[in-house]
Amino acid sequence: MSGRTATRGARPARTHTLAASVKAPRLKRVPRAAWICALVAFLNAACWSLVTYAFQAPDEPSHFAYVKQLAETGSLPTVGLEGLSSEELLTLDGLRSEEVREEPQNRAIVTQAEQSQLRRDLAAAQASKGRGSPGAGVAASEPPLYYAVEAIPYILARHASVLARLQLMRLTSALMAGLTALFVFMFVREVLPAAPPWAWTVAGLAIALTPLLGFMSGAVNPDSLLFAVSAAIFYALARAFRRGLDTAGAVTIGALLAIGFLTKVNFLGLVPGILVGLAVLAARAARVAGRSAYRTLALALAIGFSPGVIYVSVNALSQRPLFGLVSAAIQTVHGSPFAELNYIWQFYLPRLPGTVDDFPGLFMAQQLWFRGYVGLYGWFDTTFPAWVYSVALIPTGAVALLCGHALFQRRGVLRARAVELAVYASICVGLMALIAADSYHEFPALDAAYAQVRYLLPLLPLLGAALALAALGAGRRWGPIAGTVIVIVFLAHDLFSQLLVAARYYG
Amino acid sequence: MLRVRIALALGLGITVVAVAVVLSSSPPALLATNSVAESTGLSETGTRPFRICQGDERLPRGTDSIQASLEAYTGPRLTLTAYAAGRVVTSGELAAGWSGRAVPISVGTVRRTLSPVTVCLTATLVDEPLQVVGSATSAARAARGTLAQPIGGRIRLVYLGAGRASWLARARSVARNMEFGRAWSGAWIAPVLVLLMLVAASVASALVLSARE
Repeated sequence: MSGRTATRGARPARTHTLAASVKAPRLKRVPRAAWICALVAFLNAACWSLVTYAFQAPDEPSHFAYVKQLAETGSLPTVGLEGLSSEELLTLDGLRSEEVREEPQNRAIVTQAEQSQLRRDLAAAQASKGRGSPGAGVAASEPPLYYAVEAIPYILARHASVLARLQLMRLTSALMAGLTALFVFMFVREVLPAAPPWAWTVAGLAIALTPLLGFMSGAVNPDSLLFAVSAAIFYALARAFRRGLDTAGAVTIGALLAIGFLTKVNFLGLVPGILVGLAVLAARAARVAGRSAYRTLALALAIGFSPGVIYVSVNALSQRPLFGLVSAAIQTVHGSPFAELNYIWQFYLPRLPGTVDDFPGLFMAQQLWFRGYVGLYGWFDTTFPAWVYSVALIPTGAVALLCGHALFQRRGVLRARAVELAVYASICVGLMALIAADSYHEFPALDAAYAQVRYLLPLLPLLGAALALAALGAGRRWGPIAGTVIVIVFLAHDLFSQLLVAARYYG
Repeated sequence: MLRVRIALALGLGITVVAVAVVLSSSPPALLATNSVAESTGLSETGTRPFRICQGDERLPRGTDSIQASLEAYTGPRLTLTAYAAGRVVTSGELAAGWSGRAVPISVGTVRRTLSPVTVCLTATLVDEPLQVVGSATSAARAARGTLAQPIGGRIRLVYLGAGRASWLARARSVARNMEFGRAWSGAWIAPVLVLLMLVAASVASALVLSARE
């Protein structure tokens, strides 16, 4: 008996050792440079979490409310309810949030009297009755995974003030920026395996220091998890394209698909491209492994779509629209398909001859997308002086030229990997089409409701690859210097962006 | 390797100099407002070209930017022109694509205080209606729309110019302001922020160097 007990007791220990020995080499396979890039991204986002005034990031009050509801009641907020909890409203009042938001001349609270008032409001907020926040504004329609993760710091600090909980939640988001940079490094290492390691570092560091990533991941917003999941999927796909789709790879991609579905509705834009990638990988694997490759594909899809199936089943049983928010969007008929296609095209590119101009006087690529990338913080109310956006065209143009040169030099490799590139392009097109189609639902009342660069940050791995290529495009002699300059430019951009935000709220 | 070190040192040096230059400049300061509260939406412009003019304004000396309370999600290109005694005294433009409800438009610096001044806002390519924000007044004092008809009130205008003290001179007050509105207030915020950024920059620089080895 004792022997059996001993054996029983020993088995888990051995399993644990085996698991550890399998996991340890995997983690050890992650280069030290990738971890350092992750650390830089985390530190950067942590800085942004301190420099951005409380609740002055896009939709942060709504996302906070979602976490509050989930953490305090265990249930999801109700779609369509706008009202926030009295605890949060009192805090927003104390912070003068409405006066500060979208009014760049209005600073954060800057006097002892205002701080004392805030303390009183915070005390009143903590004493206020009522649990949760049934309304969570625009966040209510989002899936719950990010909010469930954020519920951990929320619960840990449940006895502290709203602002303490917010800060801890922001730091949790900052960890996700670290994951994003890490996976971008790993993705670039997979797609440019012949490149010298410094090129991967350039990509990882530049992404780690991207101001918009820091800003969004220094706030409470599910975008931060979406960026990390998307970067992980790009990495998993690139790895599978290089080494073939095995069971572990399929399970990983399936699990990441499931995580993506549970993170943010925008993830749907990435899905068609990912599915194309999986299909291509399975077809390739089938040449060697036969039908078992398709079983691997089925496994990935089963894991990936399981949350979707559960969601649809729950909706069917509760007689709600099958696909929730997506059903409403699909059912909204708005103009002809050609008009919508025309709008989607012009959302990013100059209009084609003979088509209706949906954005008269606007060059979307430059005036909304490029300016949004260079600097548009807070509630889209914090901008650089106009000349900065013109100057920023110079390094951008240089990077584009160098990247183009590198691609031209590697045109033979590009041809050989055309299918893989087409998969990345289809992911890119899917996301861009989704954002534009969503905006079209608001058109013409609002011209470009969702023309916000943060929605494109799931494509950061492609930017990382482009930056690494740009450094390589400078040639063997000048490449390392070009890479260094790219990292410095991103660092300077980040630094000036933080100074801009600090000046706007505390100047 | 040496060239990378030099590039890194040079790049960081230029960044430090650029930060110093920016910090030695003065932030924009609020010179005056026209004392109109943002209490109501006065009118919506529609999607046609418009021109709104508001008289009886006082343009302070040193004004280099005028902020008009207009609200849009994707705003059109705007032209602002200020007239005194029928002559243009300053003007400026704002590129299309702006967003928000308080639009600062850079104008040529005003050399001396002028009054009365008429401020006109013009947009020729309007695709998304704009909300004009201000306070209701009598028709006689109200701003005038494209066909010179009163729009129901006066628009809030804010006059901005270069401040006197540089950012560097104001560094302590900025650091002090950062203490407020936080979970854990204290003088530690600004130093910790600087320290975190320095650590991030140092780690990144060290990685740039080690990656070449």
